[in-house]
Amino acid sequence: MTIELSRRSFLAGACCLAASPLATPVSFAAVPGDNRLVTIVLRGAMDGLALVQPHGDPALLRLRPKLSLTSDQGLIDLDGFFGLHPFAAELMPLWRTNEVGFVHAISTPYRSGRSHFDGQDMLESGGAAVQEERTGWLNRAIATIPRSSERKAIDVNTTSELILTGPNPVDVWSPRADLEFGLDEQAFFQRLYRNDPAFSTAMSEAVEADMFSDVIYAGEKRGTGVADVAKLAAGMLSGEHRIASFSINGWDTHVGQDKTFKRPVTDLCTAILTLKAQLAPAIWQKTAVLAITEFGRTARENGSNGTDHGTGGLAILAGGAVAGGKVHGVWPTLKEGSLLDDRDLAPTMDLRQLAAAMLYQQFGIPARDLGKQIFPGLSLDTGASFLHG
Amino acid sequence: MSISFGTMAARRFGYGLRSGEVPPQTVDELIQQVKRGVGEVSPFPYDGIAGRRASFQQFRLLAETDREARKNGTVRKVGGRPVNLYQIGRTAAFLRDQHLKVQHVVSSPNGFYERLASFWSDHFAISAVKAPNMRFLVALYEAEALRPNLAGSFEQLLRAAVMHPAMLIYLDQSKSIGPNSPFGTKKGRGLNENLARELIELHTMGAGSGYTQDDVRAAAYVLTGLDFEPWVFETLYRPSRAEPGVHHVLGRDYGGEVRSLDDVNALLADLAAKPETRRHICRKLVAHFVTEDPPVEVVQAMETAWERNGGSLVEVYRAMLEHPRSWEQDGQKARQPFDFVVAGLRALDVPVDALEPLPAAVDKTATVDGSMIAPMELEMGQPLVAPADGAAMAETDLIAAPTADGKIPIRANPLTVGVLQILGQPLWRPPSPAGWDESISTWVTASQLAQRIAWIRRLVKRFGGSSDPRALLQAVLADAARDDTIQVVAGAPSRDAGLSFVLASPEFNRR
Repeated sequence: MTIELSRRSFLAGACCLAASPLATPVSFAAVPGDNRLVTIVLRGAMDGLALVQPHGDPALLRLRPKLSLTSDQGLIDLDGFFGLHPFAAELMPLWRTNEVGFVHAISTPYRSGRSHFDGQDMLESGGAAVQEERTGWLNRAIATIPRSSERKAIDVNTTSELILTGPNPVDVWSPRADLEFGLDEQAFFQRLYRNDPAFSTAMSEAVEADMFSDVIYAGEKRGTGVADVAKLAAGMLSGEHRIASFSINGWDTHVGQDKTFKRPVTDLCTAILTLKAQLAPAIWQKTAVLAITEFGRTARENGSNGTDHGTGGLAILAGGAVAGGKVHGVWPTLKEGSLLDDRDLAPTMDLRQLAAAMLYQQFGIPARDLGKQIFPGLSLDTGASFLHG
Repeated sequence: MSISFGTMAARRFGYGLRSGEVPPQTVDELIQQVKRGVGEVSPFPYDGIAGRRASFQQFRLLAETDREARKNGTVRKVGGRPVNLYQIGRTAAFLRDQHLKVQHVVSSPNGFYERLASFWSDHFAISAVKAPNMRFLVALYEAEALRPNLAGSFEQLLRAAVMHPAMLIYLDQSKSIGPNSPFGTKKGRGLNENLARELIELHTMGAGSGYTQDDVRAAAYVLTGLDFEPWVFETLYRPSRAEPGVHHVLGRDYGGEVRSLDDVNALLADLAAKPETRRHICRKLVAHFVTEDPPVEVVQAMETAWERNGGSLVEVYRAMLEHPRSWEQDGQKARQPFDFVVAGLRALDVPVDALEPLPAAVDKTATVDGSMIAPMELEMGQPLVAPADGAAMAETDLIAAPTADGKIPIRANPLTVGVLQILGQPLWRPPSPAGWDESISTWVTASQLAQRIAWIRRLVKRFGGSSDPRALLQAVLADAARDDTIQVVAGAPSRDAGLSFVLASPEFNRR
């Protein structure tokens, strides 16, 4: 039943499918019971203290006299201690239905360097130190997923990104990739490649992905904005893919954060809401979205109404399969003496725990694999509050 | 099928055939390309090596001005958006340098030299995104450390690359402090192993070649003190940061009561002379140029040449080129995006002036708040950072031109630097110190093929002219063309389609 539902609702949006002479060879195999995982890499260091503000911590106002908000200024209370930035107000309906949650004071093991480059390296490679791992943790995870039907992953980017780069095959397709073949032209390309297996395989995959994305976009204009990316991800997850990953940039808010924070937050909301809107309800129920960033930003605002590179940050969870409606984590407080290096929110949670928990929950990857090749040395805490049910 | 020497030399050891250019006919001609290349003045940085070095103090001033403005809350804005002149200056410099590299490689008659420059730039990888100042250092690094040294001894090249300030930044050497050095004890700071690890694992001996973590750590101790002068970007040795004592690396002792740069030089010389190093490097050269699975006898011949000639790289290249097994079976490697784009631009004989950076699209509605930025049109070739000619220079003179709406004045040309980003190989931005992946499976993917075809179509539309597809096929694939390609091109439904099939063919995307 689930399969019919998801398939039908997927096809319902695909007005031009019937018109496409290429439709027949594509299989829209949505196997019931399959879980999905979407990772969103927030590049540039998202200010978790701005997105989910600890208004109940008296030190916040002292550290951020200009940037911290009160309810009069639009801050939306979440649980009496934390409040959501009004730029993210669109997420409130999902918060109320437990489809959005947060993990605060979280960080990779990266400390004190505060370089985007190294921070993203650790975020995506899953190592305990910079350059310790050379491939992405999400790629390494693919081979350890017990059910082979759940091993299909797509990197929705123009180029493959570290988090999904590695020994396991991953599709890479982006909203801007478009073969725009005339029918006869496709036949020529197939003849051109027929005796070169690597190229003919790539071409059939391209034709399939292209046709799939033509269906997903249904003749609409393709942009490269985050809504287009999320739409493509949702379309692929409605088919055979079980893992999708993409990035949202623009979080490096050193200056004028009261304004510069708006665009990336809006993008994040758009991504989450687009995924929900585009996925059939039955699929959304089995989907976990994990949005993560390389590190947080300074607890104090700087002289330019912005914040600088910090340590402890925030992760966002969304989807029907997450423990939403809650700000998870142990709050380290912002009071004097509790900041890391007297400047940053002190991390109380290893981000790899959260990532490992999502892999464990969504795909049943055994804890021993998670602590071995995926996040070497990590011991999964199966009692973590963000594990759903 | 056996392919002529010239075709294979151009494809396997160069950037492909170009009509009107006679491919090398002998090994000596390929070696001559290397010798000529080494003697050339590097076309980048765009302002020359001396010019770039002269601009450092101005970049510094911009960086400091920006930092002050942030601290004081006086950041200038255009339409509510902050304008950071340091960021604009370094990004524009980086863009210009990148475009010049592509332009130069496209027009260079020394294909083998240019391929080697890219090989070594990948072997001794650094990335422009490591830190803001790397934007104006990466081109300088290739020009200063690599290009003049890739026909000398490996030790010479190793030293130039590893000790260049750009490498010291990229691999965090400046943060590595001897914990028992005067500076380390005073500040409570310690070791960073990054450079030491990559030096042994990537640059010299290779992963799994028998060294231990203790060797890495001891090598990191030996390297302490190696640093550079901030904003001058000259390498120097700081004895106050060097870990005192003797350090034991791979059976040898380095250091002593007094530490000096000699310890670092001795370590590099010893690593360069290791048999593991020559095996690793020779193997990697063959894996890059010829086949992912290098024949043992080719690697051995190269190792022998290395040993007999004191690590002379020219002799190592010659040994590779002279071995018959280096000339087997065309097309075992995929052209990586840089290689593909350059070969495509050469194939269609695209004029180099079409490969310039493009002017930014200016939003005419935005206005500058305040009067500090003088909006002006930027002409190509005009230095973004004006030459240094005294301390009394007015602030507005320092930066030639952000656009009227406060943005970077130029943008990437989609035919060159822009498409390299889309194809997943942005220039001078490898994903890790290990450089780009070599395998076919990385570069022959659905998305890659779709994006390559899209670029080919744009290129053909603009530069295909009245070329006959069959003539293009003959000019750029010659006797490497396969039957499928010959037939598909001959039966193409249009001229543009035929030209596209040539560049989209498996053999054009292989080498």
